[in-house]
Amino acid sequence: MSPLDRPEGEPTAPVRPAVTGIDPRGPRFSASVTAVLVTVVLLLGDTTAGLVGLAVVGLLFLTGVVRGPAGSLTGIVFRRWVLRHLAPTREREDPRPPRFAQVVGLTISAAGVGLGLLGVAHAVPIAASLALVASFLNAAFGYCLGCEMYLLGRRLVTRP
Amino acid sequence: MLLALSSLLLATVIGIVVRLRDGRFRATQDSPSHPLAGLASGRAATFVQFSSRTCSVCPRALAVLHGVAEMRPGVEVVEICAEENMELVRLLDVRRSPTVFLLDPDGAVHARTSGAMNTELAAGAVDELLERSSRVAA
Repeated sequence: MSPLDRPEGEPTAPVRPAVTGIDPRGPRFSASVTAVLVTVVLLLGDTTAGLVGLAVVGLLFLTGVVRGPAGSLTGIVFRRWVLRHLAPTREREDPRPPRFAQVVGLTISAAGVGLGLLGVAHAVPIAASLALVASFLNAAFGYCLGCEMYLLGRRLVTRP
Repeated sequence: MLLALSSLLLATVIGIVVRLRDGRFRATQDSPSHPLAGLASGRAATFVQFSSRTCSVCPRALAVLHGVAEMRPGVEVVEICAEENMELVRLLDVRRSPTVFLLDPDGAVHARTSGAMNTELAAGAVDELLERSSRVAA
């Protein structure tokens, strides 16, 4: 039973040693790749090339949503080619929060591509700049904006 | 170009502000009903951490608080699930996870903070509470 499933008020068990889960540097690597790609999309501006670029970013997010952050395309690249250059770490994190962040990323980029296809002006650059803010915060500060939005979103949805 | 630069600038400002605020305990005006009073199991103080399933910082924040509890006798740590306690989340205006409340032995909220935890800041908040309690007792 995870500590989050315990009924309210029950005392907590000692913190479990972090042995399961994924290397937290994986999602940060993925966020760096996303940040570079959406910067390119922004530089391409409100063009067909920009739309295609954002669609590619969306597909990357989709692999993360379907297969989880470790199985996403950038996650596989991280394990195969990046990890060997890094010092080993015992630190592990739950893959569910970064997966949720991939859902947020997919939603933003899909909305940008969808509205762009419908001919809505500036939809692609606006979606790309939102994705850039979120991915840069994750890559540079380890701060997961998508994860933060979850609780506020719950508060809005479950308004009494 | 302009949009890319302003996005990066905005992200950097947000990142710095978050880093400065995270884990810094602020004194609170407690609501008179002490909604967390039932959780105050610590003889000296109790940390109550609201966690959520999408929170990657929460497990590490909880570990930091447990570390402080080992350093300071009489301090307990309680973790509760935010999603399953939405009334409390709304009542206490919890906006992000982790949000941590520091309770005095009577269960009144002494201070609160959110985000990544820092051992020195959390221990400092406990010391301040202990100091205040001993002043009241004297």
